[in-house]
Amino acid sequence: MTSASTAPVEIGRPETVEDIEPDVPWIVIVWNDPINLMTYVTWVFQKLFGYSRAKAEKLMWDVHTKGRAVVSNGTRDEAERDVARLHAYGLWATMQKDR
Amino acid sequence: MRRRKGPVHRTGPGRFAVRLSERERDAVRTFTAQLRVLLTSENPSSDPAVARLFPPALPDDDVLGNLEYEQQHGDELLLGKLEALDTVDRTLDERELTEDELMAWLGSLNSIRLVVGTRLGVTEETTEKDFAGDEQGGEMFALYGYLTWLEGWVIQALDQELTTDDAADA
Repeated sequence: MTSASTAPVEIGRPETVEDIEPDVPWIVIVWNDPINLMTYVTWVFQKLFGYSRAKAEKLMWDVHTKGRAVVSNGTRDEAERDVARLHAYGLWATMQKDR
Repeated sequence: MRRRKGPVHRTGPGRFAVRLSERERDAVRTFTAQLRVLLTSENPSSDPAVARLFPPALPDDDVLGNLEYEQQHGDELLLGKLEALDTVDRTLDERELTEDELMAWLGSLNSIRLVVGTRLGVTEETTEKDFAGDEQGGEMFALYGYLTWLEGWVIQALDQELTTDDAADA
């Protein structure tokens, strides 16, 4: 991801974030890419999933620094729906069975 | 929270003012036209920039799964992008936009940046110096920078919509 250097939006580093339930079979992953803006990715996570600013920023930061983050999970159909919604916003998302 | 006014700012609940010059609006219009041509004449297997707009949903080795996903969602994703472009073209000369209209602007600006950025092969470290001696690439990278700047302001305006307590505005 990259930052819009002229847009004065500060990215805070949140201290806590809720863990995502591990006991469901499919996970949705967002991968880092060099084009989508950090502020955009944070906004999409809030808008699509209703996540708090802190949680959305934590996930964005994971994508940016670790290269990927699990952003949601559920049944295969639920994961597929989330992937399609993320693709509609231009994020690089995939789904896979949780191992 | 008071912020310096940019080219796009929130004026009230679900309302946004856009201050762009004719030249800027024409630049956006050129890009939306190019994206529309690209979306209707190319496909993910014929063009890497289009492939970036329609990524696979499953790991690459799941060929059948990805084919099913494309059949299931490809048309709706394409239609969504075309509808967003329609909205931008229809509202490009407006001075005030609704939230839905500005979200269509955001989606289209982001799609255009994904296409241009993919074409240019940008990384997180790319700077204008990488296009020294490449006039066309340099010009395209400058336009990419403009789109990044504009999109940053659109996000900030929409972000205020997301976080502002509207009762405090009244």
